Amino acid sequence: MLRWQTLVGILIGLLSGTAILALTGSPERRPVPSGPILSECDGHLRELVLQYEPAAKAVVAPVYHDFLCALDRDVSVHFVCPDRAAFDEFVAAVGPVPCRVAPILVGHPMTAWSRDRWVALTPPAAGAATTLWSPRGEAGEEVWPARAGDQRIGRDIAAALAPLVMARRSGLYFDGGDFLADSDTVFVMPRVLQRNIQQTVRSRAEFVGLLSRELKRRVVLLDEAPDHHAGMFMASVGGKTMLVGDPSLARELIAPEMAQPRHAATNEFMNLPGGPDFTEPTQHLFDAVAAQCAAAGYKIVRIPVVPALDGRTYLTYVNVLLDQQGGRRLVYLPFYRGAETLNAAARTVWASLGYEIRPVDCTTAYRHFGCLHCLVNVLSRS
Amino acid sequence: MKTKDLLTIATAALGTASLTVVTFWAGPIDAGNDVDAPPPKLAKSLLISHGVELALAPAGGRTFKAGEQPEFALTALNTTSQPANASVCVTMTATAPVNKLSRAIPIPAVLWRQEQIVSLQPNETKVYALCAHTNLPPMSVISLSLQDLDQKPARLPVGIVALTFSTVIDGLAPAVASIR
Repeated sequence: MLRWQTLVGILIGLLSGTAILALTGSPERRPVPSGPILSECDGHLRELVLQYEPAAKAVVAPVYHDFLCALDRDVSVHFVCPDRAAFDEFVAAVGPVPCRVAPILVGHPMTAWSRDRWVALTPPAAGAATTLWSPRGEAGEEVWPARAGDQRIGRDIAAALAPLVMARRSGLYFDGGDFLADSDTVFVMPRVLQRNIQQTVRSRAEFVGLLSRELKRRVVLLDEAPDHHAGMFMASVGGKTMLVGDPSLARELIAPEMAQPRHAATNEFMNLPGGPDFTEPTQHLFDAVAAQCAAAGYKIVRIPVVPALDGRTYLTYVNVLLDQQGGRRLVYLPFYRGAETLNAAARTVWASLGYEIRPVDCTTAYRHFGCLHCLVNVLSRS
Repeated sequence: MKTKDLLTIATAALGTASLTVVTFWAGPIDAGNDVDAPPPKLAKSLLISHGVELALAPAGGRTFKAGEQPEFALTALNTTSQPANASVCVTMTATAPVNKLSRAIPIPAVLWRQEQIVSLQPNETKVYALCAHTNLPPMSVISLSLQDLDQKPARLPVGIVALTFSTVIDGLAPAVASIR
């Protein structure tokens, strides 16, 4: 039988233990707080993350060279590499660059595409950590070992950069490139809902509610869009203005024989698989994106884009990195050797938006379903 | 109060406080710098049309391998107290990373598609046997989607992914079918 002294001791102990827990945090398991999703067009680029895989040297090294040489000196670039030899090879391939470059060595297979691996959630308060929000799984990981390795990149970066960076795995399936965020709104591609409905969420409302809570921005879920990442066909450029690709503008610019729909399947323009896709259903999808952004309160500006008939390969001029330095706005803008007319038209559009252009040669990359924006992820802006 | 009483009280208090803190601190420690365990997925993927719940599963719960012609069971449950009809399209697609350097897997190719009209009495359940008369390709991710043909595709979602599995030719990694 317990004596009164023991009962009093237990009571005091329970009160003390509860007080300690109350002062140091809730006993319930909960995610670490995070701020809103990082805007893609506001603030000065401070820290970037790129991935380098030696097998992709011919694809990415020329792009990285142009991009890194154009970056300002105060930008830090973390290079995720499988091992030290890969990082050394990257340094040799790219040569001296003005920005600061440091490796994060992960010791497992990976691809070269950084954008889709995670989304940066800003710190909830000054001095707190940035959160890397990674998807619950990668598309194709079952049959693609490098993509399965990609699934671990968020944790790898957090381990290397703790305590300033943390990693959190989402309950949702997505690619980072499926979101396009500015300081007001995050646009979500329809394919994210298709990947999650009745898999991880019961309904559209549950899906939008979850994203609103996690990303802490107004969520606009597009009902219609090309089946690709947002950065292939749209870019938020600040001031509630959306730049949206327009195949019809490109069609007017390139050679007349390639602009004919009946020739689209046979032409060889820029080695696009199957040729350019100027079909009405595809044009409708791009126009639908513009209409939905306009309905969300955005001013729409159109820019030429050439989607290929494979549905994945694009000659795009919205797959960019944007930087804001006070009142000055800069765009790291892809160009493609052999598409000079389109390149010039794109430069004109960006200049009309008040952007200073820093060109990046992406000729080696575009045939691999992505471009500059897809290769570069942004960890922080100032 | 004697010194012995005070000692007993202090010992009991210290032990209880320690147990309380250790027991309830386990959660936050796990949830520290890296929360890597997502919540569980839904147990079953259902397409709901006119009060009819539709689910797809491999026939006989079996797994499929490359080269086989898969068979499926479409289960329809009328959850209403009225007779109900639904029109559903079952589509099987396959995709594989043909270019290991690429950013994304290619647009999935449609392997097979079948429309099925479902008619049910109140609270009735029916199982429809479906056979895909096409051979599964190797090293691919196979997806089966259900689409409500009565819904206007103006607003998402127009369908669900009911089932996915992969076909792997490596003998060390047999094909796996899973209900999602």
